[in-house]
Amino acid sequence: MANLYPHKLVNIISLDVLQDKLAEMFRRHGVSGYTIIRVRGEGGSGEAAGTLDFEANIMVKVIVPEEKLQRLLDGLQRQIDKGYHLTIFVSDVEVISPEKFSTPFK
Amino acid sequence: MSSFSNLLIPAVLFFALGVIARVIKSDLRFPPDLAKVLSIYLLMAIGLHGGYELGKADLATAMNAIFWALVLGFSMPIIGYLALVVTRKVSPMDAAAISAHYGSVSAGTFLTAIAFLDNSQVTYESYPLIMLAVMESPAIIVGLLLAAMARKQLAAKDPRPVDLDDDGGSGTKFSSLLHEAFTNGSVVVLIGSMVIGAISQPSGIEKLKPFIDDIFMGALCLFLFEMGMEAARRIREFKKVGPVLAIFGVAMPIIGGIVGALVGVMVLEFSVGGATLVAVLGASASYIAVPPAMRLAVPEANPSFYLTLSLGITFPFNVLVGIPLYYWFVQYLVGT
Repeated sequence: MANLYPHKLVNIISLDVLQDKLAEMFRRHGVSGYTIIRVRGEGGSGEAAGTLDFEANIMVKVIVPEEKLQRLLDGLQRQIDKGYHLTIFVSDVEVISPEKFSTPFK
Repeated sequence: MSSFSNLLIPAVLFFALGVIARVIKSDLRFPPDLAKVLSIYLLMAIGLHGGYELGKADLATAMNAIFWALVLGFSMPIIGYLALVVTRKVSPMDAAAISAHYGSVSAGTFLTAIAFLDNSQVTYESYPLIMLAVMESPAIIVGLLLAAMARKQLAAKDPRPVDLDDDGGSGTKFSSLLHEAFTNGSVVVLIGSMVIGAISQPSGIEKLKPFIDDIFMGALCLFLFEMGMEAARRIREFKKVGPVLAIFGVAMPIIGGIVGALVGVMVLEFSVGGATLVAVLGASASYIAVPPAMRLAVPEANPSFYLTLSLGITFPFNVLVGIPLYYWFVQYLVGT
């Protein structure tokens, strides 16, 4: 029977144009990988309808072991301090292969 | 005389239809990537067409046109920045980001001008097309430099610890932004297609005629239809920018149009059609290439300012009023 191991799922809603910047940051933080979904919505910075490049939003999902979470959140906070609009929320998840989430990608 | 004929071109009428669809809250929605597909197609078609013409053109005139495109591209954002700083309505960061939009160009406006000239049966040179390609990038660079200056001034006033951990200072590295400014998707499509058009066998280009000529105006209608909806979505935010900035959104293209017309007529000595296109280049503000660059590199600037101005005010102004106005002004210059 497969076991479940607690991990943290970091969700980031951000501009499409920040994708490379975030990916570069994940790499520096030794994250195991990330998943991007195109999303639409409306909020503090207006409507992100996604028809034009500059207002397309993405949701980035990253699963990290708990010990890597704080450093990653600090890095994201610094981006927010610079003026980038990021919506970030963290949830508890359980994974079946923890070794997958402790190996950095590339 | 010509001011009404501009409004009765299908492409412009479709732009108006897009605006109306948005105003009456129609449920009309275009598929997500349509605008992107169409803008690639339009740049490719106009690039092939123009490149083919340029292949037969005079190199010295082309170099001269490129030189003046650079002059316009580097100087227009500085004029815009100074004008905005004088109004004291926006922060220096916002002024830098907005002026970058005004120094760069809008291919949508340029193509509408071509539709206008075609409709009025006015011929034009193909040199303004190279200028269109050249003028995308310089303003982004000037905008970034102005923002870097403003950032330094702000930092001197309010010293905060600069973090060197993430990307070595504020924003993204300048070299990677330069790379981005010059390898921007629309620049690559346009210049690449022009080169292909210039070196291809004429018989090969002839085969492409249905693709680059016959369906071109239809695709432009579809593109402007969607852009009309996008512009109308921005006009709603008119209140946010306030009257002074709204006036800037109309005055700046007129200044740019006059400078462009003077360069087109006096310096480059183009025909009425060609000089009108140069005026349109001077007048138009970017809403495709510059906004993402500014969002990435100048996060301190408020996007609703520059988007409302370039897409919600200046673009409709140019399409509906500006193009016939610059055409009339060029005719006046040539006539005297």
